[in-house]
Amino acid sequence: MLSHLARRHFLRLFAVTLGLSAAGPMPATAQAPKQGGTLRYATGTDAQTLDPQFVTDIPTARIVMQLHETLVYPDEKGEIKGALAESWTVSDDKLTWTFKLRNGVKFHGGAPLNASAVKFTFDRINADATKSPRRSSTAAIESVTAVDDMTVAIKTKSVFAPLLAQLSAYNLAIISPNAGKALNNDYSKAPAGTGPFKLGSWTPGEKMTLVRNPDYWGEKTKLDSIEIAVVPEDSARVLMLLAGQADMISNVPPVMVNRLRGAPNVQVIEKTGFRTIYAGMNVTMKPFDNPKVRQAVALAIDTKALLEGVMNKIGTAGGGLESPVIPGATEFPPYPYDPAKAKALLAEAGYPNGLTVDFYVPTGRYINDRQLGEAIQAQLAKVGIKVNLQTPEWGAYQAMLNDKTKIPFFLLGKGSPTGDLDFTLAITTQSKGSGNYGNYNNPEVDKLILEQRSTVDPAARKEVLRKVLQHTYDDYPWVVLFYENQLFGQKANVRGVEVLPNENVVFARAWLQ
Amino acid sequence: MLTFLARRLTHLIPVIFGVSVAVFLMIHLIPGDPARLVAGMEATPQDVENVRRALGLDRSLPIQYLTFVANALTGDFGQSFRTGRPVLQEIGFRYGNTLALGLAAVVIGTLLGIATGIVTAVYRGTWIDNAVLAVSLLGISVPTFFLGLLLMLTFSVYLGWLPLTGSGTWQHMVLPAVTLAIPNAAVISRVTRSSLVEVLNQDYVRTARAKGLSELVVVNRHAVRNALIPVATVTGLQMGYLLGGAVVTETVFAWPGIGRLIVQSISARDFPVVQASVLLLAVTFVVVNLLTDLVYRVLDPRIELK
Repeated sequence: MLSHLARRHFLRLFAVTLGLSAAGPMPATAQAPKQGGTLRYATGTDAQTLDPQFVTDIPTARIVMQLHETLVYPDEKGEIKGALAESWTVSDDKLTWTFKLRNGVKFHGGAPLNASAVKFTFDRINADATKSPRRSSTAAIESVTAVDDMTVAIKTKSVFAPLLAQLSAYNLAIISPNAGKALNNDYSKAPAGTGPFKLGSWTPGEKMTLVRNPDYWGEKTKLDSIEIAVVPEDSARVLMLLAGQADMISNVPPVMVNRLRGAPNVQVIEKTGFRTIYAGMNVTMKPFDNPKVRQAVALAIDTKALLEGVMNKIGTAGGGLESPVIPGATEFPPYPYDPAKAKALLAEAGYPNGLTVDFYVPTGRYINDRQLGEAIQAQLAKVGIKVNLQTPEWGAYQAMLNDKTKIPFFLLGKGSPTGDLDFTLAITTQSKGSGNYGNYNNPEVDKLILEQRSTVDPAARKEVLRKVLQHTYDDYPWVVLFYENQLFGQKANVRGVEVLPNENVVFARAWLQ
Repeated sequence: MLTFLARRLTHLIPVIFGVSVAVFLMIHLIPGDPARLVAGMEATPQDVENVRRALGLDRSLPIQYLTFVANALTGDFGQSFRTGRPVLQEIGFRYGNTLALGLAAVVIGTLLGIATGIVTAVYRGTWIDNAVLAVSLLGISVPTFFLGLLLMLTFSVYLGWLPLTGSGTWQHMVLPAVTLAIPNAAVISRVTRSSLVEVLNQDYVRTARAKGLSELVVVNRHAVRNALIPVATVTGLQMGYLLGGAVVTETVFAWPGIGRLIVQSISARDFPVVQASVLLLAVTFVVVNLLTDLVYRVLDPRIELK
């Protein structure tokens, strides 16, 4: 890891040089949006596909959602608004949701949006032949039927409160039946959604051009096009921004943030995201089967110091499993830092002379993940917990996590693809949940998860969800370190790019001054 | 000559077979579940199972291997797990990029290396020799990402002469090719120098000088050619590595080459892409070695090709 450390130091040094080099005042006057121009966007990873039903990662979703739209979407406050659906009603038995589609919407190929296109989309992801990796997006849905040309009825198998949030997931974006006959890679050659941008050209792994959709139903884009370059090296992207070879870049390394903020013709966008970074404990493995040990770990980790010292203050503090910007999530304070009490708890638990544990940490998966591991190692040493850091490569790490009996203590991130607590709480906190890598088991939580699903009233549902979060907070199965912030850099003349908490980026209203 | 080529090319068959078995076993035996990686962290178990079946990973290992071999013999290397694109398409244009960059780097590195090697051998012990030694030590020791970023900072950010990243025009290739060529040139320079110094002490060089030939003719006509055999060996080896894709340089300069593809594919357990690209690199290595042997023959006609 010497080279890695050397690299970090180099980046610091580098940032200093750049700070000195940037010059030139920037007039910050408000203007009417200007028409035209090409926005050059440099991102770390390329889209894997342009077929919404095959998307399994955020960088791909960001691109796909410039080209496609869903029936409904959550606005900045998390409130569900109509996109391709203009309005909707729920039947008295709460099982059938009827959506009125927006008139005059055309797919990129020219075909009109209608009820049969919506039905086609849902049938496609559910078909065996499609082999979609996200088929379960429609698991709650019994049937989709076209009531008339512009009306769709979606019937759920049982009362399913999170349906609207589920429908806003990128995997359920509506696609043209003509283009949708081709799957995945073949569809990606000529994708046809209803989005404000159309695909211009794509050289996979290298670059992509998106062009204005002149037939867009809503306000048409100010930009003529977006040129997306794949630039995997973080510092190379920063250089592109400073050299004026990119207008916007994704994933700015935290160590460069202060320097970018000091550069006059560059801005940093920082937005709290949906991703929770946490240290999980396996409650069926020694010593974490003892709740006192888990509580001791929670009290011995100084999350404030991690956020300030390791993360350069890039991140949002909090103690609840779900980021408070996710609709329906309740805010919890971080666990207090109390090493004296932690020591006492360890003694009570039968470890007066401390103990030794293996701590598994990914490297390069999350921002500064290994450094976080090292800092936690130092913090826990102060209360007598000797931590051995283990850093297997990601594929191996994931395989060990899935085994659920091999890793006692782990650092992990958890996103929220649907922007609704149902999905992630079900896989993370339910006793049989696939993402419950620490075997957390609380029968009350299992019951509440089922209860919130059938609680359609939002306020009542939020209260049930709060109880789930409260239980997991009181049981100490994990220590939430912070919520990851999304970091973008842009040139000062870029206006109107919106970074959403669900990690999507909206270019539809962007323009260049 | 032709029998030599034919014989050497038949060596490829066991190499390809051995590599295919080794790669297949290695990638299947390391821990990690491609279905899980494709489906993503937030996938349900049902989704993971669906993906496993779609990728054909629910079958036994021998069946998977035999299917791979049978398809590969017909030229079908399958589809990438990650992108669903045909493997040959994924590898094809990236390999072209790697070849272009690797060859440019070899040409620059070899010319620069031999030139400085000759100069330092002729002026050995002088300040020129020492200065070049210092520079080549630096060239060998500087980490590639650091060198790459320094070049970017200088030629793109400050001077604005060249694009920072990407590919497409010759301007895009200059910085990554130079980044790769510099350590390469440093090694070749040192090898050329020591080899030439040895040759310059030979009797026939003394004879040539005694005949009254100018130093220029002595060095260029009589000495250099005989000193180039070890240089050819080193260049051949370097070329083998460069054509295998230079992961760091490709990453820093966002050069879409095969080195980066292989690393990404291993992380994603994208078995079809890893298998096909490692096979391709093995073949490349064998071919480059063959070319090196041919170069020996050109440099020294006394060497027989058996």
